[in-house]
Amino acid sequence: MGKQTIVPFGPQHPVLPEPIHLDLVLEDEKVVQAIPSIGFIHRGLERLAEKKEFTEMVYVGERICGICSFIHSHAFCHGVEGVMKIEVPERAQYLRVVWGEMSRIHSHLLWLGLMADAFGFENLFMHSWRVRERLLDLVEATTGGRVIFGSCKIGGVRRDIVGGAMADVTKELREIEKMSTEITSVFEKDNSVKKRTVGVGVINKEDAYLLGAVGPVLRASGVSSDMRMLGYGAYGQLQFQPMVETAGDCYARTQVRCKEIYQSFGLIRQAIERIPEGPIETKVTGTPNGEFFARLEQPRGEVLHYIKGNGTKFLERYRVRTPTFANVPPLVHMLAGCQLADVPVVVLTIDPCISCTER
Amino acid sequence: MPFFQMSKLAILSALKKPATRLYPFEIRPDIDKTRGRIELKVETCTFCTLCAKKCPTGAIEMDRKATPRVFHLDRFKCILCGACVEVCSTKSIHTEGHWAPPTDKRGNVTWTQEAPPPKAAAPAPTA
Amino acid sequence: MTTHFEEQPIIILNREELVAKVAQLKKDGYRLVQVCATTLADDFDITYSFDKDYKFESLRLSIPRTDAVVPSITGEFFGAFTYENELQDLFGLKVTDLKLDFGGKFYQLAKKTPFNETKAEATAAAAPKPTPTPEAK
Repeated sequence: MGKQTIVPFGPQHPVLPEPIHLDLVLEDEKVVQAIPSIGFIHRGLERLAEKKEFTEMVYVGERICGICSFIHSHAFCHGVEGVMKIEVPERAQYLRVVWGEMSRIHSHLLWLGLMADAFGFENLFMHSWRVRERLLDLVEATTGGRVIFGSCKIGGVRRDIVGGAMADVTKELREIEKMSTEITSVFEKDNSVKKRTVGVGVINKEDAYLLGAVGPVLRASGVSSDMRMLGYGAYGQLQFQPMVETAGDCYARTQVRCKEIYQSFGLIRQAIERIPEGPIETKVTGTPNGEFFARLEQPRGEVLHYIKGNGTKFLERYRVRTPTFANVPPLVHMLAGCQLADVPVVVLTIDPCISCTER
Repeated sequence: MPFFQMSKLAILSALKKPATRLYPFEIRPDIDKTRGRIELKVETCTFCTLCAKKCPTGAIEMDRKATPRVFHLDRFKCILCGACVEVCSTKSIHTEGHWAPPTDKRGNVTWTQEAPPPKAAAPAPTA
Repeated sequence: MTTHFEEQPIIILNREELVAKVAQLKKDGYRLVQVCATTLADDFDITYSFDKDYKFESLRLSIPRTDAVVPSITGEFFGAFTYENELQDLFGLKVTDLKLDFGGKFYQLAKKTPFNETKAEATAAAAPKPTPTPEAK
């Protein structure tokens, strides 16, 4: 048995988008155990629900994370609408689907760039983000903000996409889809990508299910589970199936995310074809009294917003359980047994969004 | 051959013009619906203070008792949510198409308005 | 088209029945979704949520704040160690038989157990204290 050394990884590291600390116990370049530790970016957002009225908490919910911000605000609104039993008009639900899927595409393109950066492929990183810029300009033209969309509110959406703008959106998305095929084909076929990702960070089906993995980490190990099948928003009216792979390694997770980009383009096209005319919001009166667990599918997995109201304007408890928090035990399992040089690739393959994890 | 996948992308991008913009010599044209910085048209403002009440961060402070009446906006606290724009009864507050440029000092932006003359007392009803 | 809100049954248990019920759920093929605690005036309400094929079920315990001890479920679901360490660090709950116990060092925070106070206690603690009046001569 070789000598054991402990190497601290993070919170500052060039490959991490956000600070997380891992103590890696090494035996001559092979990781034996990884001990995580978080709390560097804890802002106490859950306690803020005691000070801000529930209609203003949408702004806080949006700003929990920059990358997955729209779906956080959708989940908060869905949670409060579940407690107060508010009927959201159909056009607003379809618009929420369109923006939610745009947010998923932008998040996956961002992740593809960071993954290329993790194994040193800077050229591909820059190209992925160049395609993402085009998408962010489209988002800004429809919602008003590039990263924080600011379009969801309790009872509907704040802005509409009218007439000619819808045709522009379809045309622009076709361009962006063509540009993304160039990027994802490199991730699928390139030899250097395969050498760094095939067989690295393997987790099998039973372990992924029992350790509580969610999102692409679970789907790449063979379990078909996607919260969009629950039918919230307008997803009940659209046709799609979860994208599943069986290998359970980093390459499989990359393929799941690449396939989901094209699935999102298809879902947006379906939603734009079926969107009905009508109002985009309903008036909200009264205060929430009761509790509801809102479960939605973020780009990283299943997010859960627990809303508990007690009849006053302030919520009694607001709890956010983000997908990265649920993916930390599988990460610890995956790191045991890999080489030191593979640690950045494995950490990035669960798509860590630490500001979500620690709210 | 997998090698040609990436080399085609690399060679094409070397031959085309750059995808980046030479900022600050070239500024991006404004996009129509952007929620940019907040501006006030003080002549039409009635100082109803609804925007100050709706602002989630408390960036707007108004004083209608002072002469002249003042409207403070702290640009550092403003999160560009647009709640004030939606609730304004006279549509005096609006968002521009671009964000505020970077600055090197904190400070409020203040608009003032001369207080309107007090209403004349109604004549006593004749018996 | 009506908005679809799923059914979310909540089963109330007490502390002793928790581990047996969780073992039963694991045998039936459920996976752990989350563990959440709420601070009320006299006790903590802890909710354990499980999911199988999009069917959602929750268990709820009520633990008095003066006797804040709860048994661990890491024997059944090892992935629960993150949630239970968070309960220890943020709420001050003591969890017994934890398989991977960080001893309060999982969440590195400046203020210990920040969530261990209700809204009323937090506003009372933040209110300025009255200055003592000088004695009249």
